[in-house]
Order: sequence, then C-alpha cells, then structure tokens
Amino acid sequence: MMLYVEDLSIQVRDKNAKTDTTLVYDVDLTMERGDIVGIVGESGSGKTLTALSIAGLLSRHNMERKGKIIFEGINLLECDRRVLRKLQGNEISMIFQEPLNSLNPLIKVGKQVEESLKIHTTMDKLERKERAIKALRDVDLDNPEAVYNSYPHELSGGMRQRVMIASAMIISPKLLIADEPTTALDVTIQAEIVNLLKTINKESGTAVLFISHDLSLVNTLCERVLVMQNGYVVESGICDDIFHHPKMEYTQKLVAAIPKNPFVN
Amino acid sequence: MKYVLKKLLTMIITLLAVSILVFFAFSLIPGNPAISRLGTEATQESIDALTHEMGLDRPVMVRFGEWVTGILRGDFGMSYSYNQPVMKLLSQKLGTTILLSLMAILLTVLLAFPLGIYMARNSDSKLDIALTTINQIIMAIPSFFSGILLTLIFGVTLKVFTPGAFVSYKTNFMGCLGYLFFPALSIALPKVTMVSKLLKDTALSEANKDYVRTAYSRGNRTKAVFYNHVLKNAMIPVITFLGMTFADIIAGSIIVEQVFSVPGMGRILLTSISGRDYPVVEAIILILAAFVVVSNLVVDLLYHKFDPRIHV
Repeated sequence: MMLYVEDLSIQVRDKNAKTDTTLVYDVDLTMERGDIVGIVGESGSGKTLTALSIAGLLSRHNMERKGKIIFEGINLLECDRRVLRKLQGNEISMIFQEPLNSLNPLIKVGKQVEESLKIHTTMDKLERKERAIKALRDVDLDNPEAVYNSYPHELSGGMRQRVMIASAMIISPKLLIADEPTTALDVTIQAEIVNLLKTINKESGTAVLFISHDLSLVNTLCERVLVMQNGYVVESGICDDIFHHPKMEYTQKLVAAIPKNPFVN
Repeated sequence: MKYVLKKLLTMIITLLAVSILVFFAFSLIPGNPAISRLGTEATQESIDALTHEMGLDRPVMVRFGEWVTGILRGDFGMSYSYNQPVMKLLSQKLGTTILLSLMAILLTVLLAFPLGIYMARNSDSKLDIALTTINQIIMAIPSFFSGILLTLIFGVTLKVFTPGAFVSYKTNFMGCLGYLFFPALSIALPKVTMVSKLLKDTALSEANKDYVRTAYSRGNRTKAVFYNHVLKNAMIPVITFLGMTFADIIAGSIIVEQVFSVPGMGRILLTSISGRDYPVVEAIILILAAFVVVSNLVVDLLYHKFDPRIHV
C-alpha cells in the first residue's frame, strides 16, 4: 500500500483559551499507486486540513495531529523533519486552490518549476532548464520557453495552474495532492485541468488525491471518494455508487445540489 | 530606458517647482537683507543704496530669471553676508554633509538588515523580545539626544574620539570618516530600529502567504524558504521606506552636525536663515531637494528591479 491513513484527527490549540478544538475526526484513507481518490465536502468540512497533513504542511506549532499517515512505510506524523523534506516535492507534491497566490510573484516561472530539482537532485542549471521546459510542455502549455521566462502575473489563471502542475510533476512524484485546483478557474478551464490530471495519472502512474467541493467534478475524475462533513468522513466508496445511490442524507443533498444542464433533460 | 527618461523629466519639473517656491517665498516674507547687513541703526539712504547695489529693487521676475539661469551655469549667486560666491562657500561644507549622510545611510542598511532578519527568523525568542523592547526605546530617542549621549559616553568618558576635533576630508580622509562615525551612528540609530522592525513585520506577514506553503511543499528547508522566497518579497516595502528615510537622514544630519560640531551645511543654514542671506538658504534648500529627488529616483529604479509587476 502506498498511502495508509488511519484514525487521523487534527486539533487546533488555542493558546489563550487553553482549549483544543477538533477539526478533523478519525479519517481513514488508503491509496495504491496510480489511484485517483477524491475528497468532497463543503468548506470547513476538514478536507483541506486532511490534504495538508498528508503533504506534511500543517504547522506543527498549533496543530495537534493524532493517528497514522503511513506513506511507503514511513509514518509522516512521527518521522524526522529531514525525512519528511526528502519526500516533499519529490515523492509527494501538492497543488493549491489559488495558483496566483501559490506562486512567488517575484521569481520567474521557470525557476519555480525547477525548484524541486534543485532541492532533490544534483542536476546542473542547463539540465534543470531542459527538464522544466519539458514539464511545461507536458502540461500542454504552448511556447514553454516563453512561459519559462515569464513572471506569474503575466500568465492567465489556467496557465498558472498548469505551471503549478508542471512544478509538482517535474520529479514524477508517487502522489499528487490537488486541493481544489479548479475552484478559482472558470468552467471551461476547469474541465481542461481535470482532463490534464487524468492524463498525468494515466501516463506517469502518479496517484492523485483530488480535493473538491464539487461532487460532479470528482465523479468525472475519481474512482473512489470520501465525503466529509464537519470533520467526519460521512460516506466513502466507489464514486459511481455514491453518486447514484447516496446513502447518507448529506451526500444526497450534495448530489441534489449539482446544477442540471438546462439544455439536457 | 523610457522609464528612466520619464523619471528624469519629472525630477526636473519637481526641482523647478521647488526653485519657484523657494525664491518667491523669500521674496514675500518680511525682512530686508540690506537691513540685516547694516543693522537697525542704519539710515534710510544707506539702506536704499545697499538695496540698489544688491539689485533687490529690481522686479522679482527679473531677479528670478537671473537666479535660475545662473544656477544652470553652476552659479548660485553671491552670499550677502560672506561676500563670497555661494558655491565656493558651500562646496566643502556640502561634501562633509554628504559624507555624513552617506555614512548614516550605510550604517542604517548594514545594521538594520541583519537585525531585522535575525528578529524575523527568531521571532518570539527571548532575544527577539529583548531586541524589540530595546528597539522601541531607541526609536523614541531623537538623533540629537542620542548624539549627546554618544558624545558623553564615547567622547568624554571613554575618549574614543575627541569632541570638536573635526578634520576635513580633504586633509585626512580616514580621520574624517573616523570623526563622522559617531554622528552618523546617532543619525542612523532611530532609522535602524524602524527599518529592522519593518523588515521583521513584513517578513512575518509574507511568511503566511500561499507561495511560502508552496515552497515548503517542494521540500525546502526553512532557511531556504526565508532567503529565497520570503526575504525578496519583504524587501519591497522596506525599499520604499528606505527611500523616504534617506531624505530624512539628509535633513536630520543638519541638526546632528550641531551636536558634534561638524562644520557641514547645518550651521551655515542656520546662520543664513537668521541673517536673511537668501542666496545661501535658497541654494541649500535646492540642494536638499535635489537629494530627495535623486534618492527617490534610485528607489524607483531599485523597486523596478525587485518587482517585475511594476510596469515600465
């Protein structure tokens, strides 16, 4: 098993009130290589916190995490920072909701795409550039050389998210965590990005953990899905089953909330 | 390039506006330079004669025109009270003030950056809390007072330097730098506290931004995240503030020169104002304005280099 999450709970400590608030309760999740798993839920359901803790990005100071996150035999909740850093950007990478804010505004796109190579490999400048341009081409960006030399603000929203995907995929990680990667983009580009993630998964075998509040989007991309509400996983299983035969009331509401296409009856 | 030209043009317009303002302001305020020169006992005839000799009875527009064309040739006119060309009177004093200001700027940058970076990287540590408190106190001490304290501690008690024993940079450059160190330090101290606090605060707020999370997600160490990502972004407001500070430092040096008896532009500015020696005052104001404008230009260019989002 590549990723095995058991009884993951996340608490936030309030230093002043000296109270703990639990935000995520007992999440269980397993992923094999090449899997595509979705987590759906409204905002505040704990899906992003779950994703961030798997990526090792929750601040250790005020977040208490319990349970196990075993990635390739390593417990990410207990391992050394150095061990975790070796996995980040190398075996586990992540893309985020707002591609503009997620890129450093003062650094050229190319340098940001190849940063993981700089950290995790011994490649020289030229090799890194070559790889970065290839990565940009692989996410279907036209004229990757020009993109390499531009700044984030010079690109469109869809291009920026492609850049983020290129930077996450440049070392071919085993797991790509995508936290609402299409929420900030308009609908036509959403579909392109979802298709791109699908292609990446098929071609490189990278497993994708796809976080979204949009059940229909999850349904087009994922095989399995976890439905979260108020920090609990309320339902999980094969996407088609849950989409067509939701058992829990909350999931039924989510399915009912999907807007119908007015031109198709 | 077009950007630089545009900036240069606005610089010239600013300086022209300053010169108009300065010249006409001094034509409007009460007080006749001829009377200041002759004393209040002088007869009306001798005052009129001197007024005529100084050309002060001619129309103000004519005098302004002559003054501006003179400046373009590098001639700021004659000082009323010293009977010397203003340029000659100011040249060495100007050099001293510039040297003092540059040293203060250098000290500000050299002290503020390491301090700000240290406080940002170790925020909430005991040393950071102590430094923040000390910073707060120093920030509240005006330069002339810290100048007096420095003179007392390093000049009188420890005898690191001899107060009043200024040597000109023309005769002994290193000696001059040595003497100017403490004046420069007292000008720099409050600026150091402000710049380091600003750097710390912006770095800490930048550290919460999304791109920092991305940098961590690539496996960066905290140090690399700070120096490669956070610091660059935190520099932008700091550069803006530094630009304003530079202008402030030049103005501030005039007062601190008095405390350390440095024969810079400070003293001559004060005596010229009270003696109604307008050509000298006007020249000094124009030179200060030129400094402010040039330092703004440098900041704009730096800004431009740091932030690609600012368009040419």
